[in-house]
Amino acid sequence: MATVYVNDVPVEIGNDRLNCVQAVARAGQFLAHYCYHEALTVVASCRMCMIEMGDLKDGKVTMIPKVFPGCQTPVKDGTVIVTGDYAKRSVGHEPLPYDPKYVPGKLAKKAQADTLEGLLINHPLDCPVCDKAGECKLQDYSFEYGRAESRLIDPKNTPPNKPELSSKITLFTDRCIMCTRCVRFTREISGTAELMVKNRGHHEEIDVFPGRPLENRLAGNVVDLCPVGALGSKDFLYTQRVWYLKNTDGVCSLCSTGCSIHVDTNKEIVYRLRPRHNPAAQGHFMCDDGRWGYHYVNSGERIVRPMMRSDKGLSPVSWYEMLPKLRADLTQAAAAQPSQVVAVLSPFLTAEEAFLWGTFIKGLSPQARLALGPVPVVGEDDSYPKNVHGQPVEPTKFTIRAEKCPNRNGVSSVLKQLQGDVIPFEKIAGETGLSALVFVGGYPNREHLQAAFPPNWKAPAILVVQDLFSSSLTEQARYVLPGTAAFEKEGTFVNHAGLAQVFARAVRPPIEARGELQVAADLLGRKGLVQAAGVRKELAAAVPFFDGLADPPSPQGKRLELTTV
Amino acid sequence: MPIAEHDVTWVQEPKLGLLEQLYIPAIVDGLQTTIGHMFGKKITEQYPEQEPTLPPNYRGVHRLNRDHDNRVKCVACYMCATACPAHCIDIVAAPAPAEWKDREKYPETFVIDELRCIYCGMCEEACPVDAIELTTLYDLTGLSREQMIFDKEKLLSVFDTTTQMGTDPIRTQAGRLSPASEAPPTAGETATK
Repeated sequence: MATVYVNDVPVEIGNDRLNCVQAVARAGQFLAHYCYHEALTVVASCRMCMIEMGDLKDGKVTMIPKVFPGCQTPVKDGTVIVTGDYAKRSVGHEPLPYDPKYVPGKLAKKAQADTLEGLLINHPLDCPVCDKAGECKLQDYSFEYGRAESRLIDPKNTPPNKPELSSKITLFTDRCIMCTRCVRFTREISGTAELMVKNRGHHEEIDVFPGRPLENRLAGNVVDLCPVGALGSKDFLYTQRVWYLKNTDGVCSLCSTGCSIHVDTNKEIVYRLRPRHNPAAQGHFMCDDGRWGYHYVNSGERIVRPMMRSDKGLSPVSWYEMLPKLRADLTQAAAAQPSQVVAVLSPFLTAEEAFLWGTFIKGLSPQARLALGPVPVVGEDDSYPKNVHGQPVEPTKFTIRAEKCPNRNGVSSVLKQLQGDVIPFEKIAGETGLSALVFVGGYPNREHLQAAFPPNWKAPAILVVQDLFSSSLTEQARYVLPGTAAFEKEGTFVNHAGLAQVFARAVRPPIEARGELQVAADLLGRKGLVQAAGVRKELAAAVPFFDGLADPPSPQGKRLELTTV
Repeated sequence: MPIAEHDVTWVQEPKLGLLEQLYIPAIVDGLQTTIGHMFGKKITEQYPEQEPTLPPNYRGVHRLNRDHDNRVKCVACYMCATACPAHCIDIVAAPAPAEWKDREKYPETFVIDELRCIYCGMCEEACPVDAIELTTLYDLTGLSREQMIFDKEKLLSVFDTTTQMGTDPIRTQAGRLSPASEAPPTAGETATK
């Protein structure tokens, strides 16, 4: 077993091949860095992770009298790492037998302060107008390791901004500290290599090649990778200061990869999505379709209140008026022709919602049928990195799935358990003579939904639609219920690989809307507010596939065995 | 937490002597003060006929300062809104107009609810470009709540008024952030524009 000493703390690293940044993290400490990123190659260009190192051999420490970039320096058995934070180390560990003349941490601390002074030489210090302020690593480390005042008397370089870098991303060239994370991202993860470094020395700039803007489906990640405010998302630009934002851990609902995300909200409005590192789901990144695809939640066209059709057309109605009528209609239809009562559960529902709705419909009559809603598929799976011809290259580092829904696996497993097989939506769409159809949707894109219906589709007498947007379906519906978006509910999504991720609610739904889970619970005659965690326990007990979800799973999610059903 | 015994000091009421019990010296003492004022210098202010002169650090109605190009000096950094303990400042930021070469961000709207404000001056202190200031305008009235919600134009007009009247010259000088905080216009310049 190899042992590394980080600021006198011994750390067992086994046979892992680590660099100093990782070894310091293993010791529960932190080594400041800009250019190093777990998913990218090491370039050691920012010089922020400077450390002192040496060897512990035969009870004697030999330190090398210079500093090393930690990200580029591998550790081995007996390596002694001393960081600039040595003075702040946790007490309780015996100091190693250093040379009495050696002052641990002095060189590294000075190296870090000098690095920061160098980085700030051409930085405009326009924090008040910079969107990164508050989550900026340059601010944080300058506060922690830098000097309070600038000694620079010469004018700063002020290269022009480059808003034309990309349609979605802008570059504030003067704020850049040249860590080149963005350049390495486009070369190594997306493989599209749009970004480059031009000029030399203090005139270095990030730029694109003429006529080749930064346009790929992963481009938004460079904004997250940028440790300072140089690369900004035009979508989020100047909308909020980051310290107002509330972060909720969520799951992206726009494709079956099910990326783990942070949902940043303020006053019940979603402002930004960021990827949450989850090796079990997608890794460090997320695609632009998901990142900027949240706007449907804030759309003014959403169905926001329950409506019922009368002679005068659709008119708003209260829930307590509508639900008993709805239940009576469905009960009557189920009593007359049970097999002609069909509920369509969309793959945008959480597993809990699908389970509770399924339970309600099967409770009306065991012959009533449950179908899986239209599964939108757009194009083909898109894998990255790409080569110069746009062909995917192995090993795949990120895949954008063609299946544009988050929970086909979860909903189909529930349906299989409740009725033995999954009826695809096409079969239901082709049938005539249905007496009642309950369509529980949640489609962020109404085109995906409308494409699944044949043009001359005839609605049954009782059509209940719960969805986000009005469509050709709601035009014929007797009952229209407002749906809730993925950010507005809690529940579980099971991604393409069977990874079940539980997520919490980030924002409140429209004030008059009730979630799909609550409506199902109301129809089942349950009293009070329903909790997804409680339904999840029921679900775990009733459906073997969801066994593992009885206990609250970790934020990483839990991989479920797809073969058990 | 209960109060510890050693923290407590017991105080006895002072005993009154004969003179104190008569109260006459105390009455004479009081009358001396009253009569002294009757013949002394008049210090009553005849408000509203006579307006007071307030110290320059008086914290009255806010103003939004203008820069040398007569644009709003504010860069929409939200520092004042963040510092505000009463949450009375509401800003909507936007990219600056293309012809403002030296600025990237400006406040599209800037609204202060003067009724909610507690006039603590934290906004003024937080501002990195000296764009928001409290003036010596103290007689703030309105006929409705809506009138007391000041938008950007109203706050800029407070700047124009107070600088022209000379009651509140520009007190704070240019910070070092950006051209947004360069030397302010003189009162005469503002009047001509």
